[in-house]
Amino acid sequence: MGDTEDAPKPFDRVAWPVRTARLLLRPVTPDDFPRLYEIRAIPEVTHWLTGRPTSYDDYVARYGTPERLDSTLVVEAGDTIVGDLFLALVTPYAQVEVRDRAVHSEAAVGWLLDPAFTGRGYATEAVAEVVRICFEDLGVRRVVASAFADNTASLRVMERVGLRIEGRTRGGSLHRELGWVDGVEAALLAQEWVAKPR
Amino acid sequence: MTLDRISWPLRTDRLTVRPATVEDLDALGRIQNLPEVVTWLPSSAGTQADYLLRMGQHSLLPRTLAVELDSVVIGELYLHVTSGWAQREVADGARDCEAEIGWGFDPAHQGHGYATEAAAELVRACFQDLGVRRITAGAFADNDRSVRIMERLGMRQETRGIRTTLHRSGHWVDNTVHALLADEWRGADRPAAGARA
Repeated sequence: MGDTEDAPKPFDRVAWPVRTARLLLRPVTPDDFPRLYEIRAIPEVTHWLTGRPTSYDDYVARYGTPERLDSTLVVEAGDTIVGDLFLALVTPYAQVEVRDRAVHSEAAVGWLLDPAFTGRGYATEAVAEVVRICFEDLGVRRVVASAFADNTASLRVMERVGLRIEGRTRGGSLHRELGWVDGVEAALLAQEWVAKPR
Repeated sequence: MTLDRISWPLRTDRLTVRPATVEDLDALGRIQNLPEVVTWLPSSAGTQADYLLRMGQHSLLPRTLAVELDSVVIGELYLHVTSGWAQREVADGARDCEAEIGWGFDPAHQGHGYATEAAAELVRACFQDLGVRRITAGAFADNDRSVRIMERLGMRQETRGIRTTLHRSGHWVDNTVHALLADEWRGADRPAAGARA
């Protein structure tokens, strides 16, 4: 059987760019790669990320795929790209008879920010907007995010945008320097979400 | 094949555990079709033909262990070895180091501790014979019987998902994931009953 649904393109359903009080969100384009690679080359940034690009070509090979282009948003403050966001539709577990109703009913989100721009609430502002896009524009019923448990900056963002920690894996994630460490899984249901005034 | 690294059959005080074969599917399909069992399973078995088809489509037979009491199949265990989550550069270190387990037993044989006895032996085999570092088990949160088995196995609840899972009744319901690390298992006191010599 396997997944026979077409790869979803959630970005097609959103009117871009999306603006918040201080930021602009839009889908990534290859023109953004040099700046995004520059951010990912910062060790502080990749400490908690799944992968660390070994070169610009490696970055483009990994992040330039159609799947990545359809799930990456760029965050701009003024004329500067300050970070990027991950947004992908996922299908949660469902008993087989009702699986159709569960297909792509959730969104997984992630974020990273250039350390030069942290401390201003940009991550919270951008992620809160992504959450709004997920619920209002894409109509998902649940948003999920995960992080290493010691990634306190990410946990703070989760808390501020309303993502509840549902799971904490003890020694469940292998970190390249820290070994097996704890991870957290957070979620927010559409029913729980309260849109903050913009 | 992962299962080859275990010396079958596993024996406990009262039970025998071995990889399921096609010959077991009649008995296992009948058990899975029982209303008390099917409500918690990924899908209803439907007809026997449906059941056989589903087992084949999802390659489930290699993950299924038959549990026998006096040569009668009274239930099954589920064993799926997976890789742990890892940052890409160290993915090799997480390969095949986890096992997800599950169980489904004939209600006619419930209440005797058989599922716990069989699952405890599977846990031992996973840690000692397969050398996995972590075992998980998941269930609908309301599946009290299964959650109690997890607790008896020494597993901790790591995740309580709120309205995460769509039940065939049409309701989104909570799920639980319990886990146990090899280090925790080795450090725990365990009853002698059910242990192999």
